[in-house]
Amino acid sequence: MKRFICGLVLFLSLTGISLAALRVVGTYPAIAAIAAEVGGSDVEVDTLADGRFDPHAVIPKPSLIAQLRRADLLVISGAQLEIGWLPPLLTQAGNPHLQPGQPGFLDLSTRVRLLDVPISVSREQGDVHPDGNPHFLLDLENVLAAAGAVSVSLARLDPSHAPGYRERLERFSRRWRERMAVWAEKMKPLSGTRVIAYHRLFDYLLRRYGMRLTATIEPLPGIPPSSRHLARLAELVRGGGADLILQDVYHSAKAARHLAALSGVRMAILPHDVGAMKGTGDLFSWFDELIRRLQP
Amino acid sequence: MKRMFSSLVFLFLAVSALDGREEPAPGSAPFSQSRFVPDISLIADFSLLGRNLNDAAWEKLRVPGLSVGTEAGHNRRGFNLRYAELAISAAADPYFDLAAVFHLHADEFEIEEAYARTRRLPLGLQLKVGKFLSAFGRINGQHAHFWSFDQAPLVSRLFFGDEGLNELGGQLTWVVPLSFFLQVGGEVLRGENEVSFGTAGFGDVPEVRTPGLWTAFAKGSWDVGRLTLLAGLSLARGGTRNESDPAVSGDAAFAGHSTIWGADLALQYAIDSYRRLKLQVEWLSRRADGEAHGNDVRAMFKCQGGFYADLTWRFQRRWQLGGRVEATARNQVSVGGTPLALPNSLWGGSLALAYMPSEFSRLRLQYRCDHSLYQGELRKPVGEISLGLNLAIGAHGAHPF
Repeated sequence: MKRFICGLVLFLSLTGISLAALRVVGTYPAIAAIAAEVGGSDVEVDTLADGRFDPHAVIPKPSLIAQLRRADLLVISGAQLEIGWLPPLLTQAGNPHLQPGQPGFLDLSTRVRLLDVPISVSREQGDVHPDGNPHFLLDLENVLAAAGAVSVSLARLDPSHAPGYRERLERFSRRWRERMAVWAEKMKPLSGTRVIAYHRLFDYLLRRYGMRLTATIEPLPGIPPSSRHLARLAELVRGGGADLILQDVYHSAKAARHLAALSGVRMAILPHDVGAMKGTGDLFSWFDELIRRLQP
Repeated sequence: MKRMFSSLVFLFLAVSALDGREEPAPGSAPFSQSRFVPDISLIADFSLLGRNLNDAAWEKLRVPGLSVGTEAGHNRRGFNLRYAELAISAAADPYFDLAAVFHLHADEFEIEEAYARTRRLPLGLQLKVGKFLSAFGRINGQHAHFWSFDQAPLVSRLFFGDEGLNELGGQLTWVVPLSFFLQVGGEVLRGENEVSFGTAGFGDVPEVRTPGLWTAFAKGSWDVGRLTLLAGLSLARGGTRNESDPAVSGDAAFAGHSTIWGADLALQYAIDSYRRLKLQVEWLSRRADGEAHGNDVRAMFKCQGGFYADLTWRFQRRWQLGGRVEATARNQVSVGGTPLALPNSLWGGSLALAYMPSEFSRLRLQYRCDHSLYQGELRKPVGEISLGLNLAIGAHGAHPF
């Protein structure tokens, strides 16, 4: 009986390694979606985090260790967005291919230009991101940069399918640029809009379309709003200091609703990631929904 | 005139050359290693404690058959610095991580953990060598600041002591490459745990040959929607030498073998990003076989067990409410074939309300009652209320599930 179980486990472990295509794990759904666009049928893609939840506060479920254990390529957002949950999972998975510096580890934040890089950091300023704002996939150009980086990593790990990865990257980039032109046209009237957001989650999106963040509902990163801070915001919106209030799907929308009701300023709930809302299952529908929800 | 001019030029050149020598080129620090500084963090835990017994009376209490007494130590009435925990860790090179955790008290410096861990063994294997908290069960491997209550559960304290099963040795773990999480592992340890194991001989009894303790464990996990389940089975077996055995009154020592096995289950339901409901249950059982050495040598047998169940509800991002029940389920000891008369219904419970202003600070109000402590034949119920403040600074690694 013992021998049978040993044999079975060995068999399963061997099949687990050899039968599958290249296994790619993206930390967030948007990253997995990018990998799926570029990898097509040559890869099997998994995602660790749930797009509906706070990307900073992912629960380090042991099932994620099982995914990392079997992966050939791990693509992370980086810039310390995963600092609160990924490191222990990576350690426990014991997969030497996914260690930082290995070809099987890709940190996308090293391939883009980060905004809001603080000059000095202290937790006195809340839970700041010391390397800059990590929510960079909300910039359409950065999605392309990420797709390019993923295709390079895939081609390096799986040279026999390299032409396929390159071709799918080109096709994706072409389609994405076409949509970018359409989205830019739709967003033109919103240029110059002054925005209040819960967290500095949409900064890259705002910058791309010439919008401006004037205040955040959380007084400091990771700190829920105090009544005094809310009173100050109320004064700001009543005084006409903001044109739009942006809310994400995972923080409480109470404060945003209150401010909107107080001033008549429009509030929009935006999906921050693929799968954050219904009908945002892939990259194109995600941005379609984002742009649609920003329209007056 | 010409000479004066040339000497002036010379002087100017000399001064500018000196200048250049005095000011090193900007950004040049050829031997600086400061960017290799490892992750360093400090966690401090303070408490204000009230108890229905004074410290001296409390220290005299014992758990019949299971513990020889408690030390008030860092849980005295009034203000306490319960601990300051200094942790340092980094990759040593591509092959090893090194981590150390120091427990600091007002008058002691203790190396709680110091271990090396491999980074790139093949096949999902991982080796850990040094002094570390055993992966036996669930709560044993976690550091105190991660717990939902101030104390370790009753059974853990009775079987492993206040420091837990923390030993010198080696650990090998393997994550089985399946679609769900399954980890199996084992440890070979010195076995110096003073409560259930111990190696030092006494009288005519020789010491235990070290490594004198081994453990084996398996942990599996499944997700069902927003519900995560983690279950584990653990086993620890080793030689025991205990010069002051709690089961035998008088000066009797115990020498033999002990086997502890444990089953644990954690269920967590994620209500949203910040709110969650969690149930954690652990059951431990101990069998010890050997001899009681007093005025004569008699056969001795112990069969003891117990459990705890923690239910915690993070009902807001900043608030968590928790309840714990803990009890022994079995307390049988026989010496020379005669069972000892020991109380069986030893139990305790805690209620804790925590407020976390940020991820790095926590205030916790806890009430605990303990009905496991006796003075002689008399049970002394203990009630305790504490207000604790826990702060973390620096680069502290995230915690596993």
